Amino acid sequence: MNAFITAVVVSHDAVDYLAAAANALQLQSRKPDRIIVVDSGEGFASEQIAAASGFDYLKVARDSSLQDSIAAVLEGQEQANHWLWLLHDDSAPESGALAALEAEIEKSPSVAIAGPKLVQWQAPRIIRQLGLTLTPNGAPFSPIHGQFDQGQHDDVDDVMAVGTAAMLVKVATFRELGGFDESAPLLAADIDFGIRARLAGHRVIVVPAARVQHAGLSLSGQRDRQWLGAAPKTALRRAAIHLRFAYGSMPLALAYWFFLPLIGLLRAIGQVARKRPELIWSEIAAAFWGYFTVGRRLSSRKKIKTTTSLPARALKTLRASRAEVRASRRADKEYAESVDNLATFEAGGAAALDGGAQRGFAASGGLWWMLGLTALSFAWWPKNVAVTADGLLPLSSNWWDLFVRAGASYQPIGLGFFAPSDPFAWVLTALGGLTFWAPSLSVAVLLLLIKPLAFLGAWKLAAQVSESAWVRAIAGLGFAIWPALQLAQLDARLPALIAALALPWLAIATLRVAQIGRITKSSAQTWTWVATAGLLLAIIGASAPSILPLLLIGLALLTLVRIKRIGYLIWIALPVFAIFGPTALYYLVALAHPLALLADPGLAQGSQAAPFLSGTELIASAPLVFFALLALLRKRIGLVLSLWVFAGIALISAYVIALIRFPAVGVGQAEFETVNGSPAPALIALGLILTILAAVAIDGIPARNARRVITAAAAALVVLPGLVLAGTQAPNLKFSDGRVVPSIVAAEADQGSTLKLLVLTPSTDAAGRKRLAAELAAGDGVHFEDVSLAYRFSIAKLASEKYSKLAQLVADLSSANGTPLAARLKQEHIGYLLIPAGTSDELAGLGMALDSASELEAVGLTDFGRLWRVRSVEQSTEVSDSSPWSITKGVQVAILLGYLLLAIPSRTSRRRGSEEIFIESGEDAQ
Amino acid sequence: MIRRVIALIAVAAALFGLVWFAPKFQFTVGDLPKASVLKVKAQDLSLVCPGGVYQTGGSSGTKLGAFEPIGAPEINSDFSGPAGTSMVIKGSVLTAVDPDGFAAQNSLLLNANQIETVAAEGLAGLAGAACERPSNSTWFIGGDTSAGRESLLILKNATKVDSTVSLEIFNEQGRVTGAGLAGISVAAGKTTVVPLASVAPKTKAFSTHVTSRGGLVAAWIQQKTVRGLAAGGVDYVSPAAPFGTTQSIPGVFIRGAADAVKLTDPAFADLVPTLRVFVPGSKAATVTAQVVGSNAKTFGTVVRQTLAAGATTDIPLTGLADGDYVAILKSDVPVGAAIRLHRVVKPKVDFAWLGAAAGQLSQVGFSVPSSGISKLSVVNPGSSEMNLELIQGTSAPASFKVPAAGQLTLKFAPGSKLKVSGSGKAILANLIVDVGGYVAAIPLVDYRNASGQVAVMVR
Repeated sequence: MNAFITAVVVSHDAVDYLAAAANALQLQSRKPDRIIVVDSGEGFASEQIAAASGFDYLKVARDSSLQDSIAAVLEGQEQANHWLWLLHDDSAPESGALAALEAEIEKSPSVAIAGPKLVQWQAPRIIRQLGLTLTPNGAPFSPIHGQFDQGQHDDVDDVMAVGTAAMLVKVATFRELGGFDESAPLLAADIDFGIRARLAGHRVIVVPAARVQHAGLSLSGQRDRQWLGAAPKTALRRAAIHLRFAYGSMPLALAYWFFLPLIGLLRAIGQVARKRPELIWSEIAAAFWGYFTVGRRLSSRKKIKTTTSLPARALKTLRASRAEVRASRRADKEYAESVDNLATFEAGGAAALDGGAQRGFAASGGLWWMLGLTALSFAWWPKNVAVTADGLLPLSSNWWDLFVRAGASYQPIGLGFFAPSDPFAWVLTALGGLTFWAPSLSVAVLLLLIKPLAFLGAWKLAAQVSESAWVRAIAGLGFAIWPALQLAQLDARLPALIAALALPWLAIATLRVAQIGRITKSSAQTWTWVATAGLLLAIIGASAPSILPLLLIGLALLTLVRIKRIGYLIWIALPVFAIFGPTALYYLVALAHPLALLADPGLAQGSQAAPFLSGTELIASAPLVFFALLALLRKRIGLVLSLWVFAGIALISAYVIALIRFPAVGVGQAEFETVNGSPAPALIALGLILTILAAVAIDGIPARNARRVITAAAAALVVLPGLVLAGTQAPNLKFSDGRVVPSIVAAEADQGSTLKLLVLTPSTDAAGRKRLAAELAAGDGVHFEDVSLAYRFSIAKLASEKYSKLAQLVADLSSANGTPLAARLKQEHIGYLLIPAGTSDELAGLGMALDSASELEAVGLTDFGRLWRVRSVEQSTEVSDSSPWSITKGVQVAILLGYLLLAIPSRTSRRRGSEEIFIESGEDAQ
Repeated sequence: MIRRVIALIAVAAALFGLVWFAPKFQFTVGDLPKASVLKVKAQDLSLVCPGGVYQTGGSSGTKLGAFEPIGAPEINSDFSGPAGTSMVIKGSVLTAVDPDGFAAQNSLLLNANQIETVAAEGLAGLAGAACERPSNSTWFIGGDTSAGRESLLILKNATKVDSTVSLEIFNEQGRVTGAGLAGISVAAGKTTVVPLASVAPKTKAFSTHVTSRGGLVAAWIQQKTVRGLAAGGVDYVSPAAPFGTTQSIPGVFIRGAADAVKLTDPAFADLVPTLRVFVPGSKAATVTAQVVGSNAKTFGTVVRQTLAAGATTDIPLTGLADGDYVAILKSDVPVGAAIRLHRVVKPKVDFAWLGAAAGQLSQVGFSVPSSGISKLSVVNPGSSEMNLELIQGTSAPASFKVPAAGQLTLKFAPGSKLKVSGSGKAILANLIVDVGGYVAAIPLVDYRNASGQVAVMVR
C-alpha cells in the first residue's frame, strides 16, 4: 500500500536555506506526491523558489502558526493513507530520507509519526537530534545531540516524540489528535504532539537511516523573535514549563503554579552556580510567563484528555533517566570546552593550553616559606580574640550586627545618623564571617598572616612572568617584606592590608578573564574568574578607595587591549559599583564632596607625606627598586614599560593622596581634627609592580649556572634588608576579649539595656584650642564596623537642637556648677559617663567635676578609663524601627551572593580537574 | 642597548625627583566640625581651711577615739572679685559667690591660709597651711607615726555629696597593705579624722595618696611630736606638688642648729633637717639633691642616692649651719619630695613640713599672716636669671631678680596682700612664718578653677 505523501515546506524568511531545501527535495529518491511551500515570510523570494522548483505555493499570514499553515494545506485533501512530511525551510533532507521513512511506516502500521536523524547543516557527521523525550522532571530533553555519528545510535526506533523538522505524520492521526496544540509554545508543541499520539495508542519512531540536515535557525536565534515568541533560551524554558503544566498531575500542577515565581528565582540562582549567568533572565521571565498564562497551560490538559487512551505511566520507559540527563549535560560541557579549545588553538594559543612542566606552589617549597614568614610575624600572635591598635577597634561580637551595618542607610552613631554605611562594612562582614562566632578573631589572625599571605599572592602573580620556582619565591618574599606593607602591618592599617592581600589575586583573575598568559578552558571557567575578579575589585575598592582610580584605569586599558573580551571584562566592575553606589551618590549629591570618595575607611590615622617612609625603610626598599630598574634591560620591554607606567601612576597617586586632608573627627576617635589620605595602598601596589618587574629582571638572565648563582645571591640581597626590618620591629597591639566599653556597661547592654554611654575626651583643635569632645554611644560601645566615613564628612553639618542640648549638658557636667542635671540625663537616656584614664590637668579637672555631681556615682577606674554611673536613669522607650533590609541592600546582597556563587568553581569543572590530574598536575597545583 | 640605559636612568631620575622634589601642597576635602563654645555658670570657688588643731582625746585628753579641734586659727584671706561677687565665710569654708559665674577663678579672686599657735600639754608649736580647693586625689609627702609622733589625716567634705575616701600609703619598704585603707566615709559637710598610726603604725617615713569618690574633700596631715613629756612641735603636711624629675623646695631656713646639736638626748636625735623623697611607679630613681645656701657662709650640701621604686626614703641633711637654704632635686624618673625643717629656740622646739613648690606660671595672689614674721622664699632652679614682679596691695609693682640656680628671700609686713608673678617663668615659692620662735610653712597655691567657658564638640 503506497502512502500519499504531501511534503509541506514551512518557509519563514530563510530564503537561502529554502533554496537548499528545495534543491534537496527535488533530489529525493522517493519524491513526495505533492510538495507545497507554505510561506509566512515577507517578500516574493520564496514564491519564486517554489515556482522555479515546480512546488505548490501557499501564502499565509505572517503571524499564522504551524497548525494554521498545516490546516490550510490539508483543507479539502482527502487521500487514503495520507501522510504529511513537515519540512522547515532550514532543513534539507538527504536523497534517501523520505524513502527510508516510508519503508519504516510501511513495515509497522501502528506508526503514526516518524522522524529522521537530524544532522548538522553542512556538517552531516554530527547528529543534531534523534528523537525527543522528557526528563524525569518533565522538561523537554533531546537525548542524542552533538555527537559524532558513527552509527552508534542506528538501532534506536521507538521514542516519545520527534521534532517537527522533517516529521512524517499520518494525516488521519493528525486530525484525530486535533493537530498541534495551539496553546503550547512552539518548542513544546512537537513533544506535546508526540506524547498525545503515544497516549492515543500510536507509535512514534525515529528512522536513523533517514538523514536530514537541519540548521536550527530558531534555536540559534537567527529568526526574528516573533517566531518563537521570545528569545530562544526563554522559549526553551517556556516549553518546559508548559509541559510541566500539561502532563503533571493536577494537584502537582497547581502547586507548581503557586510556587512558580519562587522556582524561577531559585533556578536562576542555580544557573548562576552553574556559571550560566546569561540564563538568569530566561528563567525568571519564563516563570512569570507561566504564572500569568496558567489558564492556557491548563486548557491543554483538556485537549490531552480527549484523545488519551493509555495511562501516562505506560510511557515511562520512553522517558530519559536521571543518569542519561546527567551524562548528557556533562557531554555538553565537554563539547563546549573542546570548541573553546579548538578556537584557542586556531588563535595560536597552543602553548597556553599546554599545562607546562612548572612545579606547583607546595612542590617548590612555598609552604615552608609561608611557615617561616608566619614565624617572623610572631609579634602578631593573637593572645586573645580581639585586637586593638592605633587603627583598629574590635568588631562586634555578634556577626549579625556586622551584617546589619553593611549596606545600611541608618547608623546608630552620634545622635542617630542617616547616610549609607561605608562599603568597607561589607568587607568587615565578609572577614568577620570567616570566624562568625568571634568576628574579631579573623582580624587578629589576618594581622598575623599578612606576610605569608602576601608571599602567596605575589608568588602566584610572579608565576605569570616566570617559570622558575626560585624567582617566584624571591618575588613572593620581596612583596611580603616590602617596607610599605610592613609599615601598614605595624600600624595595623586593616583596610590597606586587606587591599594589599587581594591585589595580586585581582591581577591574576583579571589576566585570566582577558586571556592574557594562561587561557581559560570554557566560558564557565571564565565566569568564575570574572566573579572572582569582581569580588576582589569590590574588596579592594571598599578597603582602599584611593587606588580605585588606578585599578579602573588598568581595567579600562586592558579592555582596550583585549576588546574582544569586553563582554566579560565589564562585569568585573559591577560589584564595586553596587556597593559604592549609595555612598558615591551621597558624597556627590548630599555633601557635594566628590573627593571624599578617596578617603580611607576605618579609624583616622595620620601618614607621612612623600617620601612616605623613614630612612631605614627607604634603604630597605632600594634594592627592589634597583632590580626593577634592571628589568628595563631585558627583552620583554613592552611588558616592562607598561608595568613601569603603572608604577609611576601608583607613585603619583600615593603622592597626591598623602597631600589631601580629610576631616578626622568622628566616632571612636578624637585625637586630631584632620587626617591626610594614606599612601599605603598605592605604595603597596607599587611594591607589587616592582616585585613583578624584579622577577622579570632576574628571570630574563640568559646565562648558565655560575652566573645564575651569582644573580641568585644578589637577588637574595633584595630581601635581606626587609627581613632585618621585619625582625626588628614590634607592633603596638593590645589584645582583649573584644569589649570596647567597661564590662559593667557591656553586661548591662547585654541584658537589653538601651542606656547610652557618654564618653568625654579632652582634645585640642587645629588652632591649639582646648575643647571637650563628647561622644554618645550605644551601651555596647563603638565597634570597628560602626566607624563611618560618611559621618566624618557630614558632622560639620549635623549641628541641631539635639546636638546643642547635649553640648550644654556636657558643659554643665564639666563645670560642676550645681545646675540640676538629673532630668536632662534622663532625657538623653544616659546611663554611664566615661573619661579616658590619664593624668593630664584637663582629665583631673573633669574627673573632679564629675565626682562632685550629685547625680553621678563614681564606679572607678576601668580598663577603658574612669567611669561614672547616673544615679537615676530612664530607659529609652523608642523602638528602633529601622529594618536591617532596604532595597539597595537587597540589590547589593543579590549581586554579591550571585558573584560569590559564580566564583565558586562548579562541580563538573572540578571533576574535570581531578580527571586531568595526571596531565596537568603542575597547573592544577597552582 | 644605549636607549634602554637612557630609559633606565630617566625612570630612576623621575622616581627620585617625584619623591624628593615634588611640591608639597595641602588640600582639605570636606568641612571641619567646629566646637560650640558654651557659657556655663562655673562652680563657685570655695576654699576649705583645716580649722583648729586637733587634739587626741578631746580637750580633756582622756576621751578615747575623740579628736577635737582646740583654739581658733587665724585665717588670712584676700578677696578681690568684680562687682556683683561677694565672699561668704561659713566656719572654715570661704566661698567667692558669683551669681553669673563668669569671673575668672584663681588666687587673685580669692586666696586664704591659716596659722595657729598652740601651747597645750604635749601639743605646742605653730601650725600653718594654705586653705584648699577640694579635690578627689591628693598626695602627701610627710608624716611620721613612730614613737612620740602622731599623724592625723584630716578629711573635710564641704560639698553636698557624701564621699568615700581610700588611702594608699607607701613606707620605706613600699606599699602598705592592711585593713582600714579603703572605705573611709566622709559625710557631706562633715570632717573625718583618721589617725594614720592605725593603718601605718610605727612608721618613720611614708607618703600618702588620698583618693575620694563622690564629693570632693580637702585633706591635710597634722603631725605633732612629743619627746618624753615635752611637746616637740606641730605642723600640717600640705598636699604635694605634682611629681616631676625636678623638685624645688624653697624656704629651708635653718635656725638654732648649734642648739640642736647640744640636745644630746636620743629623743632629740631627729632634729636634723630631713629630706623625704617618694618614688612613684616601678622604676628606681637616682636622685641628686642640692641644698644651696644664700651666701658664702652657707654653702649647703649635695646628696646623691639611688632610691627604691614605690617607696619613701628619708635622707638627713647633716652639717648645715644656720642660714637660708633652698633644695633642688634632680631625678631620672618623676619623684615627689619634702623637707622636715626644725627650729630650736630654747626651750621651744618646733618643726615644719616644707613641700616642693608647685610652679605657678601666672600671677599668684597670697595673704601674709597678721602675726609673726613672714618671709617668702623663692627658688630659681633654671640656668638663667628670673625676674620677679611683686605688687603689694594697690601699690606699683616692684621688680626683683632671682639668680640662676639661686634663691631670693622677701620679708613682708604682717597682714599684707600680695600678688607675685615670674614674668613667664614658673614661680617656686614657700611662705615661711615665724611666730615667737615657732615655725610653719605655707605653700603658694593658685586655686585655678574651670572658668565659665567650655568648648564642647559633640560627635
